[in-house]
Amino acid sequence: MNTRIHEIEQRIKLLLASYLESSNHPELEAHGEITGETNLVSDFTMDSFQVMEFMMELEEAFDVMIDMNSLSNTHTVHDLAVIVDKDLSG
Amino acid sequence: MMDSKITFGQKTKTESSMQPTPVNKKLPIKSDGFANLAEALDYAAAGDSGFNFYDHRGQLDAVLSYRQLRDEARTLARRLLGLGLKHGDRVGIIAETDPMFHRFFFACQYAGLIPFALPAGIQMGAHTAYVGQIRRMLESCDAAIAVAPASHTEFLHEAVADMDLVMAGTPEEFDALPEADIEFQTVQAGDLAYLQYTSGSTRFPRGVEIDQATVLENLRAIAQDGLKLNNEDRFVSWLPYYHDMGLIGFILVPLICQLSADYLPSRTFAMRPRLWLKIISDNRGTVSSSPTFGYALCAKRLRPSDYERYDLSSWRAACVGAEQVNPIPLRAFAEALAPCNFDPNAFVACYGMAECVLAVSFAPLDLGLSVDYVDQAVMSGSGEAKPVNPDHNNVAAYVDCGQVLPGFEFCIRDEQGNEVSERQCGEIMLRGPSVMSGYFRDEESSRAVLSDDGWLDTGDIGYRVGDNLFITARSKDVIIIKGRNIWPNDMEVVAQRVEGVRLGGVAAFSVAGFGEEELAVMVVETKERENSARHRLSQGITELMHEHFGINVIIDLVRPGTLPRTSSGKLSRFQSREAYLERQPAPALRLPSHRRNNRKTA
Repeated sequence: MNTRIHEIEQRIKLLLASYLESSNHPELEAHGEITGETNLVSDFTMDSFQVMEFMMELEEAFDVMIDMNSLSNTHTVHDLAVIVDKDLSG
Repeated sequence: MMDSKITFGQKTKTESSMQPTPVNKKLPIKSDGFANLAEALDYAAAGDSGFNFYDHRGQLDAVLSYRQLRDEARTLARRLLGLGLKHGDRVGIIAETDPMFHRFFFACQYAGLIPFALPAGIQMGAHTAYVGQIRRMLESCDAAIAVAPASHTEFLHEAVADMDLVMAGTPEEFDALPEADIEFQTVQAGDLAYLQYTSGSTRFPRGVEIDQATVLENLRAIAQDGLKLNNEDRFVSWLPYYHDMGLIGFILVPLICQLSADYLPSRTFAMRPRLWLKIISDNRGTVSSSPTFGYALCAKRLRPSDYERYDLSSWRAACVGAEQVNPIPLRAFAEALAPCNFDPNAFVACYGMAECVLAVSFAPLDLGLSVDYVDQAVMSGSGEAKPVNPDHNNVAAYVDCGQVLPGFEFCIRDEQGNEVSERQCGEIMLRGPSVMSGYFRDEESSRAVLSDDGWLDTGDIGYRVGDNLFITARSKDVIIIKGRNIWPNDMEVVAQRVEGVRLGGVAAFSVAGFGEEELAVMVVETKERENSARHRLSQGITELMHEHFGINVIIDLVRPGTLPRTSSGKLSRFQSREAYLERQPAPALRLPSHRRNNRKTA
């Protein structure tokens, strides 16, 4: 895997874990390790407003602007890393 | 001041010189006497006010004065008519918070076409579901034209592939069309002004049809009786244009009074709700509305540094509606923002629905929320709202939504259709000049809610004290989560796509959650006993619910034959919910019991 995407993915995992922890998502413990294949909406009960809240955290952490419509084809942590990487390159 | 121009939706900033439109100092306010919406825009165009669009960082991004809007809409109307469209043809507009929406909506008003807003918000991973939703809406009203901002073009083209539309494209493509050399026909009072898709059923979209006279009457009543608007008023909104509160409340109400409005994109609000407060503070906004959850979301994200930053003293009407008005998070919002001079008396509880254009009742201005404390046990027994002290041990709190606007008649009936007495819960029926003529080309749905003598069955449950309305449950058939209306039947149909979920073996409903929110629950019958298979089943449904509805659903797997059915074999959602609640270890999830007694079995 491309090193930069890998690094982005690692950082997203940490951000996601800390987001879920701060918003008291009970599934975090049950789910175990967050991986690139972790599905953002079906593995955790994040509703659309929480998804947006997490997107804001990503935007701030990476200083990018996430194209919200590209999220329509996004399911996993890895998919998200690809979007962030694309914005960083663009 | 006004040298910053937007030309045909292309936002050309002249950087620092861009200023929002001022409040209406120039024109005498006039909110009635217009024959149609186009005439109202012609009048507003003589002033300096208009619409202002803020971007995802809260920076002013585009300005559209009423004058520009009139000129651009008239030009665009001639281009649309050049396509050979007939009077009354439907025009679908993907309703992103963007000046293009206003331009197309009002081009239709001049051209005698019927616009309707298509949803613009797309959930994560929901590409296919979104495209299907857009397509069904366009099909259901046999749209002639569909337009999407550049951000949504790809989705639109996918939705209309092999559909027989006259044209589908971007605003720029429409702007490249030749103008027809024709005079506009006068739009009559009985001509439809727009269709409003109720945010509910995605499978069977229903378009509320509202004619010119009907919309103008509700706008007049909101302006004169509900909000008592004046020249100093300024609107601020993050509500999407594809919801009635966004379209009617924050585009057409300011227009009818020639007032300026400032918009924040809905998705930006979801990410950075504090920008809502910033715009109100910076622009001295006076009127801004939200469902309860919007106030709660905003309060949750406040930072201590905000208190010095915002001054909300100008905010005189903080309307709360669209879903049940819940006093607890609203009080928390008011307390948190007291240091910013937010006046708790600015809260105005409202009641309304797209079937009545927008507004049915407003609580009196400047008095804040008036809460009625009633005995929950009595209510669950007899449906009577018996007043008790707020510190009573089994108390329910309902907010006074005020009197119906002049012109409306209301009546609260029991299930046999008899009018009930004061403080007795029943079904709210409405009649008046702002009630829709029906659902577009849907005789069956129209007859189900409209009687021959003009009474609309709202589907809402409530009681009255004197002439004041108290709503105890919104839409008996609808699950409302964070302002989004979801038909249980839609959820059930979608869930059946998961292998192992049987037709008729699934029931969706909502229950009161731990906090203030409703939770959606889906009970699913399955033969599966093996854990990994059960997990796959739950996960499959969870994913689909997110994709299609953007909500969390509690999935409860049960053995086949568990779900209660009526004598005719039809699944009973009502009893399914009762049975589900009984299975829960107390005191986990408890539905306020009065709702159980008053909601109809679906």
